[in-house]
Amino acid sequence: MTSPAHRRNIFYALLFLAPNLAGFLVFTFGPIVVSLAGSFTTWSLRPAVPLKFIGLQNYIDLFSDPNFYFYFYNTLYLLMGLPISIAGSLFLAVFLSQKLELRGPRAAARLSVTSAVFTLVITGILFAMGSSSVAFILLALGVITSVGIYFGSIGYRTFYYLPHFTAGAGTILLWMQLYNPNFGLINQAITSFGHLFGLDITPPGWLTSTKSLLGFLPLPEHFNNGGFGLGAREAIMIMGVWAAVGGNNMVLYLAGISNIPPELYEASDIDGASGWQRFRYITFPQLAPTTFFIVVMGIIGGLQGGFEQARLMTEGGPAGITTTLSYYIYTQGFERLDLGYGAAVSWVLFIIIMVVTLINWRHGNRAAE
Amino acid sequence: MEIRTLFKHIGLIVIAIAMTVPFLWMLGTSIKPHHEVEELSLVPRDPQPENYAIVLRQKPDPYTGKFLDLDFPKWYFNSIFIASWVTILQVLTSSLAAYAFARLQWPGRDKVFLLYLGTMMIPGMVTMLPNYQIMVGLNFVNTYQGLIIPAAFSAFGTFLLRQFMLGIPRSYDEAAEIDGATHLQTFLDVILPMARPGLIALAIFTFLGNFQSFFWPLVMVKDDSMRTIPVGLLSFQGQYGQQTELIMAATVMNVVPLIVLFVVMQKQLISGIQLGGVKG
Amino acid sequence: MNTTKFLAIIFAALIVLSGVAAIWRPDRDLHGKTPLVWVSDNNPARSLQIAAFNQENPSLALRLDYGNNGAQKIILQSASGVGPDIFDYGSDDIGTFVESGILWDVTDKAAEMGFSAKKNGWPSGADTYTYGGRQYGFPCNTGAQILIYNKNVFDFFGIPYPTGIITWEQFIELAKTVNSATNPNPQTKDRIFAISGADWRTFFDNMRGEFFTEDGQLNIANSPELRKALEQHRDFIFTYRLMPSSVEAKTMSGQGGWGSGNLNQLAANRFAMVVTGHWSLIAFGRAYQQQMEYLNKQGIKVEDIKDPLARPLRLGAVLIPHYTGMAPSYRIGSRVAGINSRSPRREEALAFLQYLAGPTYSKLLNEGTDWLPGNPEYAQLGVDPGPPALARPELQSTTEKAMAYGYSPRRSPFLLDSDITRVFKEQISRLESNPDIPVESLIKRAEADLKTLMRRNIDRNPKLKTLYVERFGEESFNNLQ
Repeated sequence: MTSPAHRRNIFYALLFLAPNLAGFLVFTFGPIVVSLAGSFTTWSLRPAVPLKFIGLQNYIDLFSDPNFYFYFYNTLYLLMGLPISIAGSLFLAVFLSQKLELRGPRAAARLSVTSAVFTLVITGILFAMGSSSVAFILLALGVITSVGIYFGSIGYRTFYYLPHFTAGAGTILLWMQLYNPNFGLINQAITSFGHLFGLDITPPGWLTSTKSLLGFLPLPEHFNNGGFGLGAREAIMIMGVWAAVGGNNMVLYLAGISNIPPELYEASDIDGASGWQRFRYITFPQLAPTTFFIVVMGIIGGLQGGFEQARLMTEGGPAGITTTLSYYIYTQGFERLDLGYGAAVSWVLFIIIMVVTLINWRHGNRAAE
Repeated sequence: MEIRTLFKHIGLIVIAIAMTVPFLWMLGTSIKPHHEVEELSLVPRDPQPENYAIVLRQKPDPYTGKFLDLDFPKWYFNSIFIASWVTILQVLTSSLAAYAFARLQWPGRDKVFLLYLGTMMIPGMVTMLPNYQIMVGLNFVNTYQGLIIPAAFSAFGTFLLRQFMLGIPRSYDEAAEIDGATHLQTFLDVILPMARPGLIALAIFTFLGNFQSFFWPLVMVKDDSMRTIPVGLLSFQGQYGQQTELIMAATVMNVVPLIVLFVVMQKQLISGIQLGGVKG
Repeated sequence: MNTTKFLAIIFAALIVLSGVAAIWRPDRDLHGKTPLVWVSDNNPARSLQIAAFNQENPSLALRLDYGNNGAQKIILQSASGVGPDIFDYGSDDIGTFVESGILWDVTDKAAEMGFSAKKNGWPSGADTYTYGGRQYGFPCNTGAQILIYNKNVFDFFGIPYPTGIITWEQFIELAKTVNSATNPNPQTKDRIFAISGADWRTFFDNMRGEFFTEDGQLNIANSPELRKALEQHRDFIFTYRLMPSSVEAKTMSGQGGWGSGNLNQLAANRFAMVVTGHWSLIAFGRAYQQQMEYLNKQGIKVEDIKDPLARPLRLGAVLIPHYTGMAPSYRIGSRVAGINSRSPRREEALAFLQYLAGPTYSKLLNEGTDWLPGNPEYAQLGVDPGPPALARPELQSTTEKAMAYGYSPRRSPFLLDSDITRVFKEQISRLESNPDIPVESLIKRAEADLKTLMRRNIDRNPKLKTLYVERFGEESFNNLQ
C-alpha cells in the first residue's frame, strides 16, 4: 500500500541517498562486478591485446605459478607480527589503566615543574659542554616526564599514539634510513653497543638480507631463503609493530578496560588475588570480544597489506621476499598491464580473507560460550 | 605505595622514549649537513636549518648549486587541497546516506545496507584496477578530479554515521515533526548537530587517510606538479636518495602537521575510535 | 557554531582553493604551434638539441619531459591516454614496447625521409631498433661499451696503465693490483674496488652468448657461456673481491659529494676501472669541473698536488677484455627515440626522427659528449676534444673500434627481453645474497620462470601459438608448463 506519505518517504530517501549511492555503484560495487568478470578474460591495458573470454585460464595460471605460493608465504609471514602487536597494545592499555596519580594534583604539578626545570638545567649544561646528542635525549626525556606526570595516562597515550597517527610514506622513509646496514641508526647502535663489551658484532642486514627468523625451515628453492637471521621481513615487521602497538588497538583496549565493572576486581581483592591473577581471570576474559574484533580486523588488514613498504623500501625484494600478494597485484596490473590476471589474484586474495575470517568467527563464537 | 607509582611512571616514560626515538633522529638529521648524516649522533655539530629552505625550493642545494627539481610546496598544496575536498564530500554524502538508512523507511533498505557492509570486506585492491580503467576512459588520469572523486565515497563513512545516528533518541525527531519540519530540516537542524562527534571523527579519519594515501595517487599522477606528498616522497627518494638530510626535512614537514592535528583533536578522535570500534 | 554554516564556509574555502589550483600550473605558451612532448633523460645537452630542432621546424614546439622516464611508466601512461608523442627506449625494451602496441612502425616513412636503418644507420646496430623486420624509431645515440680507467687510482697503487686488448685472465691479475682488498694500502680511507659494471651480462656478451636458438626457442640450459658468465660474476664479487655486490654498491657512502652511481664513485676514486659507454663523459665532465673549481677556489695548482687521489680526474680507455682464443665481441646498445602510435601528432613527430639522422643533431651530440650518433656518416662531425685529462678522443676512437666487433643478440617472438632481464635480475639477487648457490641452480630456476612466462605469452596470443606449434610441435608446447 503506497500512501502518499509513504511515497514521499521513498522520494526523500532516494534524494538523500543519491550522491552516496551513485558513487557507491560507480566506484565500489560496479568495479567489484567488473573485476570479477574481468578475471575471466584477457583484460589488459595494452592496446595490442584483444579482449577475449578465457574462462578459468587466469586462475589456472596463477595456481600453477610457483611464485604465487612464494608471495602467499610472504603475506602470511608478515602476519606473524600481529600477535606481538596485539599483545603489546594490551599490555600498554593495562599499564595505562593503572592508578598513576601521585598524592593529588598539586603534588603532580609541582613534580612536573621540578622535572622540567631540572631537565632544562642539565640539558643546558650538556649542550654547553658539547655532548649535544645526550642533551637532546635528555631534553626529550624531560618533556615526556613533565607531560606524563602532569597529564597522567592521557599524556603518555599521546606519545604512544603518534607512530600510528603519522604512519605513511614519511615514516616508511624514516625507517628505511634507520635500517641502512652501514650508516643507519640501528646498526650503528648495535655495533657501538658491541664495542662497549669489546665484541665485534656483525649487525643484521635488514632490508638487504634474504635471511629470516623462519629461515631454518627447509623451504622450497624458489622461496629464495637466505637462512636464519634478521632480514627484510623482520625489518618490516618491527616497523609495523612500532606503528601499531600504541594505535587504535590500544585505544579500543583502554575503552574495554574502563568498561569492566569494578566489583569484579573488588571481589578478587578480597580473595587476595595477585596482579597476574587479576589479569588472567578477570581482565583478559572480559576483553575477549574486543580481542576478537581486533584479531579479525588485524588479519583482514594484514592479508591486504605490505604494499607501501614493498613499493617504497624494497621494491618487493631482495629476491622477492617482501613481495606480498597486494604488491604482486600491483606489479601484474600496472607494470605488466595484465588487468585480468591481476583481478584474478585479487579475488583469490579475497577468498583467502573470507576463509580465514570465517575460521576466526567460528573459533571466536565457540570461545565465547 | 608512592614508590610503586613512581616506578610505573618510569616504566611508561622508558616506553615513550623508545617509541619516539625514531622521531628524534628524524628531527636531528633534518638539520644536519650532508657530511654528518652518517655519524652516530642525534644532533649535528654544525646545524644546517637551511635544509628546510632547500626542500621548499627557496635556496639552492649546496652540492649541485641548483634548486631542487621537485616542487615540494606544490605537493603540499595538492595533498591538503585534495584531502580537504575528499573529506568534505565524504562527510556530506555519508551523512546524507546515513540519514536515509537510519531514519527513513523504504523498501529494500536493510538489504542495501547489507550490501554496503559486504563491500567493506572486499580488499581495496579488487576495485583499484577497474577504477583505473574508468579514469582512463573519462580522461581523468593525472587530474584533480581523478584523485578526488573516487576517493570521496566510502561505505565505511556511511556505516559509522548510521550507527551514530541510530544512537540519537527519536524524541528529537518527533519534536521536530510536530513543529512541521521536513526531512531536510530535521536532518540539518536536529540530526547533524547531534551527530557532531561522529562527523568530526569521520572527518579526521578521512582527512588523515587521504593525506597519507599512497596507492591511488601513485597510479593516477604523471606530472610532478600533480603529485601528493607520499608519491612525491617516493620520487624524492628516487632522485635525491643519497641526501638523507633533505629527505628527513621533507618527512618532518609531512609529519609535524599531523602531530599538531592529533594533539589538538585528541579527545574527539579517541572517542570516535572507541565508538566506532565498540559499537561495530 | 551551527554545523551547517560551518560546512558551508569550508565549502566556500574549497571553491576558492580550486581557483588557485587551476591557476597554479606550469604555463606553456605555444604561439599556435603544434606541441610535441619528448620523454627522455635529464641530459644537459637536451635543451640545445631541442632548440635546434624547433628552429629548423618553425611550426612545431618540442619540449622535454624527463620525469616520466621508464618503460613501464611510458607504456602505462600511453595506454591511459596521457602518454608523450616521442619517447626514448633502450634497445632491450623494444620487444616490450612493440608487443604493447604503443610503438609506431615507421619503416616506410624512414626510407622516404632519410632515417632508414639499412641506409642511414650503423650496419651492426640496426637490430637495436628493428623488430620482426620493421623499424620503430631512430637512435638518439648508439655505441658499444669500453673499459674506462682512472689514472689517479693506478698512480696511487703504482701500477702502469693498461693498453691494447687484454684477455680476462690478464685483466684479473691487473685488477688484483688496483684493488684495496687484495692490495691493501694503509693510506686509503675507504675501500677501493678494482672494477665496476663488469657483470654476468658483460661476460656473456663477450662470448657472443645467445639466449635463443635461431627459431626463437629458449636455450639456456645447454649454454656453457651462461654458466661461465655467472660463475665469473660470482668470482669477481666474492672470490677475487674485485667488485662490490649490488647491495653493497647501493649502500656505498655518497660522501664524496658527487652522489651515487658508479660513474660518480669512479670520479670519487672508489673504483679503478668501470665498464661503460663513453657517454659517461657527461658525468665525468661534471665531476671534473667541480673538482677544478674547488682547487681554483683554494688557490691550489694541479702540478703541486702530491697525493694522486687528490688530483682532479684523469681518464684513459681500452677495449673490454676478451677471452683467450675468442675474438672480442661487444653488444651494441642504443637509446632509441620512438613515436607513440596513439599520439594524435605522430605524423608531425616524424620530423624529429629525420632530425636525429641529420648533421645538425649529430654535430650537437658530438660537441656535447654523448655516445655515437645514429648516423655513422656524421660520427666525427664536431667532436670536441674537451679537457685533455678526460681523454675524449681516446674514448671516442676506442668506441668506434668496439663497434667493429659489435653484435646484437637474437630475439624471440615468444619472450620479451625485459622478461629475461627481470628473471635474471632475481637470480643474480639470489646469487649475491648467497654466493654458495651452485650456478646450475640459478640457470634451472631462470629456465623454469622463463618457460612459465613464455607459456603465458603464447596462451594470450593465438598467432604466437600457431607459430610455436608450427616450429616446435604440439608436444613441446605441452611440455612448457
